[in-house]
Amino acid sequence: MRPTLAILSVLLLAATASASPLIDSRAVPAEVSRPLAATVRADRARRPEAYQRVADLEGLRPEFYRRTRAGRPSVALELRAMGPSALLPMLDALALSGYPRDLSDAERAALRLGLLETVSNLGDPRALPVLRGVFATTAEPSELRAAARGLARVCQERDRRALMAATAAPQRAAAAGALGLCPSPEAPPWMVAQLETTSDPAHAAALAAGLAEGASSWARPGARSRMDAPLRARAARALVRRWRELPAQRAALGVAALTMGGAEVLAAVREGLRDAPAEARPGLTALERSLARDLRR
Amino acid sequence: MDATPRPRWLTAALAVLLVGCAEDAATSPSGLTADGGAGDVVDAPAAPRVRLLVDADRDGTVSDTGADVTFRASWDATHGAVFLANVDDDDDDDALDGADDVVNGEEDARDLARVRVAPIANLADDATGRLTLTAPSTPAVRVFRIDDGVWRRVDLEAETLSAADLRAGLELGIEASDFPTAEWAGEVTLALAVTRGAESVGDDRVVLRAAPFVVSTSLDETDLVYATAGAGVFSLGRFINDLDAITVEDEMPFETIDGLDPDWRERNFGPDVWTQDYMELGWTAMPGGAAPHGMNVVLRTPNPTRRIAAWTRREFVGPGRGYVWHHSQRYPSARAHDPSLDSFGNLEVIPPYAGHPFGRLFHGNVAARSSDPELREFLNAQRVQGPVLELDTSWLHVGHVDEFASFIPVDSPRGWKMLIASPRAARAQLQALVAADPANGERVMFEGQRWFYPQDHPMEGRTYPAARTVNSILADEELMAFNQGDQAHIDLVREALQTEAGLRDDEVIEIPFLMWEIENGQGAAYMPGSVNLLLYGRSATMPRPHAFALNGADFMETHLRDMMRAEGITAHFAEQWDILHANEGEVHCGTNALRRIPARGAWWEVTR
Repeated sequence: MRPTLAILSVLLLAATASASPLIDSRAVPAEVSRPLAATVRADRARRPEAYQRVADLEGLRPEFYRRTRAGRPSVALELRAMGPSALLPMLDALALSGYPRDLSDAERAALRLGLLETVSNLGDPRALPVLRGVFATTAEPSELRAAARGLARVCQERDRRALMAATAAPQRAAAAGALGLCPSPEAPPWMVAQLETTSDPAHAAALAAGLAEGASSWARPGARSRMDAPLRARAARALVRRWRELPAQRAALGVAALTMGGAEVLAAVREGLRDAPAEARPGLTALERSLARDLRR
Repeated sequence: MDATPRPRWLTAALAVLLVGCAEDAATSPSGLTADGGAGDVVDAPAAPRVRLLVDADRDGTVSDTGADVTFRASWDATHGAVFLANVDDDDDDDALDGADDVVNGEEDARDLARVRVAPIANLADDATGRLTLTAPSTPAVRVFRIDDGVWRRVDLEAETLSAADLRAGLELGIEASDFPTAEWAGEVTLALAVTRGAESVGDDRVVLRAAPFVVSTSLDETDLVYATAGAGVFSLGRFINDLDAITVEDEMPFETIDGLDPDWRERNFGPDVWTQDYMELGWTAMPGGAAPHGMNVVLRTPNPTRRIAAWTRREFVGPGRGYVWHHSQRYPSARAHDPSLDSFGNLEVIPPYAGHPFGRLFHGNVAARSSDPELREFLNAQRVQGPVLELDTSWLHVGHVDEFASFIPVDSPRGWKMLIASPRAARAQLQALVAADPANGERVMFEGQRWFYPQDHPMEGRTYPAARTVNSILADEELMAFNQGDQAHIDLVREALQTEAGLRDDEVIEIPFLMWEIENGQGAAYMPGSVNLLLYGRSATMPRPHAFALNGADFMETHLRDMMRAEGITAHFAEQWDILHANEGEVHCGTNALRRIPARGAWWEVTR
C-alpha cells in the first residue's frame, strides 16, 4: 500500500471509529451533550495530551492485555492511575467522541466499563449528568453498578432519591449495592429497613453488600463510622435473618456479614444459631467461627 | 493331581465355597476343584480347567495361587488388578504408546498390565479359545500377546486362541489409550471362553481397573522446576535469573521453556509466561512390586487457544512422560464460561488428610463464572482426589485459587499447614509499624516500581509509579473497604478449606498482603501476593515484596522469612514485579514443578 493511501485509511478508520460515543445516545441528551462538548472543546485545546492518553490505552492493545494473567482487556487501573485530570477526557470518550480505533466487542465493553468506573471513582459532580443517563438507560449490570456507585459517592439529594426509588430489578440491585457509599445519614437506616422488609432475594443481597461496604470499619474506623451501634445491631439481625430465609443468597449475605463483622454481627449470628434449623447450622457455625476468630485478634 | 477319592458332597461343597470366595468370579467348569484337581473322577484325565490370572493381590506379579486367583474377578480397596492409560511415548516417536496397535519396545511393555492364560491341560486338539473384553469404545482398551519375545495386538473380533496356545499358556498385556471418563469408570472385564465346536469346555474372566490421573501435591518430592523464558524479553530475565540462582543454591534442577518458539509464540505479545496455567503435572501408576510402576503425566489446559500449551505435547511427552487433554467442543453457557478459570493456577490440591490419602482437588467455579465443564468431569472421573471442591473465586479478577491458598510441609502429625492470603494481617502489620514509630507512616512502599511497564522499557512513557506511603495506603477508604470485603471472601474460602481438611486454626498461617480492585468489584494482589509461591522440599520462593527498608532490610521480606523459618522452611525471594505481579500473577503462576510418583502411590487402596 502506498504511504498516502495508508495514511488515508488510518484517518478514515479513526474517523469511523470515533464517530459514536461509547454509551447509548439516549444517555446523553442534548442538554447534557451540548455543555459537555463546549467544556471538552476548551479543555482539549488547553491540554491535548490528556486526551491523547485516554485515546491510546495500553489495556486495549492485545499485545499488552494478552500478556496479563486474566488475558482480557481491562483499562480501569490505567485510567485510575491518570488521576482526576483525566475526568473530562474520559467523559468525552464515553459520551461524545468514542475511541479513535476499531475495537472488538470485548475491548469496547472493557473500555466502557473502565471509563465508567474511573469517572465514578473520582466522585466529581461534573460526571453526574452522564452517570444519571447511563443509570437510566443501560441494562448491563456492571455498568449499572459503576453508574450507581458514582451517583452514590456524590449523593446529591435527587440522586439519592432516584437510587432509593429504582424499581426495575437490575437498577434496584445496583442502587442498593451502591447506597452504602452515600455519605447522607438517611441512607443507612433506609437500607436497613429495606433489608428487613424486601421480598426480592437479589435486592436483599445487594442491600446487605451495600450496608457492609458502608459500615466498613477498615475504611472508617470507630467514630467515623456511618452507622451507630444500635443501627449496626439492627442491620446485623436483619442480615442473619435474611441469611436464614434466603438459601440461594447465602454466599453474598455471608460475605456481607463477615465484611460488616464486629461484636454486633457475632451476637446476631449466635442468636440466629439458637433456633436455627439443622440445614442452616453448618453455615451459621462457619460464620460464627470466622467472626469470633476476627474479634480475637 | 489329587488321586484320593473324595465324597461327592464334599467336592461340591468345596467348589461352592471357593467360587463364593471369588465373589462374582469366573464360572468354573463343573466337577473341578479350585486347585485344578479332578474332583470325583477317578483314574480319568482331569477335565481342562480354564483360568485367567491377574495381579489381583497388587504385588507386581501374576501368580496362579492365593489372592491372585481368589480375587481375579473382583475389585475393592484391598484386591483387584490395575492397568495403565499408556499415554507416554517410550520409543520417542512422537506418538503416544497407547494410541497405536504395537508395543513400542521393552519400556512400553512394562506399561502393560499382565494377564496370564494359565496352561490348560488335557485339552483336545480341536479346542479353541476366544477372548472378549467388556470395555468402552472410547478410550480404546487394547490387549496384546507375547510370542517368543515379540508382542502383537490381539484382534478380539477376529482372532481365536489355538489349542496349542491354550495348552502352553499365554502372557497377555493390556493398556488403555486414556484415563477414566465421566462415561467410563475405568473398569474392564476380560473373559476367555474355550469351546470344542458348539460345546463349552470352560471359561473364566478377570476384572481390571484403569489407573487414574493423579495431580501431584506441592508436598510431593520434586524432580524439576519449570519456568517460561524468552531471550531478550525485558524484565523476564530478572525473574529467570533469580530462579536460576535459587534452584542452584537448593540443588534443584531447573529447566526453562522457550516461550518464543515459533510453534507457540503469540504474534506481538511475546512469551506466555504463565507456566502454572497451561499445564498441570501429575502421575499415574499401577502396582509394581517394591514401588508403584507408572509415569508422570501432563494435563494440558482445556483452553484450546492457549498456543504455548502445545509445548506439553511436543516437548514434555517422552519415555515415562505422558499427556492428556480434555476440553469441551462447545461451552454450555458461553456467557458464563471464563477461559481464565481453565488455567491450572485454578486447580490445586489440599495435601493428604483423613479420608483423602492423595489429597483433594479444589478449583474456582460458580455457575455465573465457570470453567470448562469437561475439565471438571474428567477430574471427577479420576475419583481418588475428588470430588473436586468448588469454591467461589468470582470476586477475583483472574479468579484462581492459587491467589489465596498454598501449603507447606511442617513437622507435625498432619505434616503440613495451609497458607492463606490475609489483607487483615497486612493492614495490622502496617498499622503496627506506624504505631511503633509514626515516621514509618511516611515511608514509601513499592519505591521505584511501576505499573504496566518497568523502568527503562521502550514503553516507559506509558507507565505509572507504584510508590506510595504507608499512611496514604492506610487512609485510602476505598482501598481499605475493598480489602475488608476481600477478607470476607477469603474468610469464607478459608472456612471451607479448613472444615474440609479438619484444620485447626494453628494449622493455618496468614500471609499478609493487601488486594486492590481491578474492575467490577474483582480484585487482585496489590502488594505482591506471597501466598502464591513455588514450593519444593523445605524451600519456598516468594515474590520480592518491595516494601520499605527497616533496619537495613525489606521489612516484609524479614517478616515472611521469619514466619517461614519458624515452620522449618527457607524463604527465597524472586524479582517478578514487572513480568508477573504487574500483570496480576506471582511466582507460583510463573512456575511449575515436576514431582515424583509418591512411594505411597497406592491409589488403589482408596475406596472411591
